[in-house]
Amino acid sequence: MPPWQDVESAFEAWKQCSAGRPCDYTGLSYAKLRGGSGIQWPCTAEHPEGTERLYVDGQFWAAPEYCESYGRDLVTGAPLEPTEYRAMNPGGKAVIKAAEYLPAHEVPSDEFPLYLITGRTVYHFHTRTKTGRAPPLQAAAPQVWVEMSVKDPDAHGASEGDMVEVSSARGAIHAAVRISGIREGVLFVPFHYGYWDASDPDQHGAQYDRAANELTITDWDPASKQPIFKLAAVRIRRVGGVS
Amino acid sequence: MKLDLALRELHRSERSLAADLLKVADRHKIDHEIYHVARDLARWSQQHVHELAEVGKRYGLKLTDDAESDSGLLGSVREKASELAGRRPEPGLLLLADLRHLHRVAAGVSLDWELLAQGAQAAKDSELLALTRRCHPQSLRQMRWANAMLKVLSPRSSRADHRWVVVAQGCTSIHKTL
Repeated sequence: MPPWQDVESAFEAWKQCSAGRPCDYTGLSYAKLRGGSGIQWPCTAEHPEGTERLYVDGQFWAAPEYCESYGRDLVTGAPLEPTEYRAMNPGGKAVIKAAEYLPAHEVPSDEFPLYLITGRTVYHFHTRTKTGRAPPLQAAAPQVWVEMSVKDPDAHGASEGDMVEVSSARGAIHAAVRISGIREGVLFVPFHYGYWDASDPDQHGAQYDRAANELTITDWDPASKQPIFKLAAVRIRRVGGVS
Repeated sequence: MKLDLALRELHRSERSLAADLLKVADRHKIDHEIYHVARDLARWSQQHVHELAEVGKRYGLKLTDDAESDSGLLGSVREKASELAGRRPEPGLLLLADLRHLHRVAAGVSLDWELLAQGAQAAKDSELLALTRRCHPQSLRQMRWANAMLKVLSPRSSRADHRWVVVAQGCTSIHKTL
């Protein structure tokens, strides 16, 4: 690794490391990097202004002697060995992998009879650190809710607008019910509502019980290592009327 | 080659691989990736046991169809023990020993599939040959998983070389006692 002592020399060192590799920065200078916006890699002596399109004419970077990784088994996460990859893809074509269906890692039980799925609403992005500060967006979806099928409320004694507790083996949240066209036996909670803008934690009744990710199982994709945060078996209990 | 013998032996080895995968999952429940992947991989072996029992009928074999799908009461005890033990260095070494064991068992299963495939080819039993082609790759993937996890975990767990020797030597006795 080339030496560096400040940000600019660190960038120069990084440039040297990238030479001849797919993400080649050698044509980029620190001034150029700070100057404008949006220089697309690779940026080399040959393409000093960067490269607009990758993989032109179907030329991928998957050749065994050039690629940066040999990929992984999508179910086990085990990396492919170089010889294995060379045998599978000697011509360096793009590879599309399929993974078979696997049952969910947590399924409903007598104790937790419903599926919970989590997801997004159109008004917010992730934990709302930006969208929660945009008044029209925040006003459009200010608080967490739980969606429930029109066929489910009777069985759980909750109706539109009621406050319910949704709990899994790991935790519980409180949310208002919204009846929707979701599938029977499945609940949906948006994961945008966390703690950064919750009220004072020392105060009784603070909103420290609304993060959907508190309910989901600890599990991640073995190949990409992305946490799943998508699924849990839960139960629901009515705690109050329309607020 | 006696195909019925090969089928019986493979059926036995797949059943023990399924059981061992579940046992390792229970024992390392707090190691979430091990827990979930080992259980997913146990399903492959359970499915193989099922298919071997089916095809065994044609060879006059009555092979049981029930690979353990859950590890019962003892499994819950192992899960609880895993939660109480947490992520300390010793469970790390135990995990290495477990993965080493799984790799060896899966390698045995893989060889059994190879033998069965040879036999099926000689006997021109195309249905049996198709079964081996479908299942054998999954045994190899089970093996590679154990191998890959060993590579990931061993630098973390066996910082002192002598401890790894202890793991390798103690492997057999650990599996006898647990």
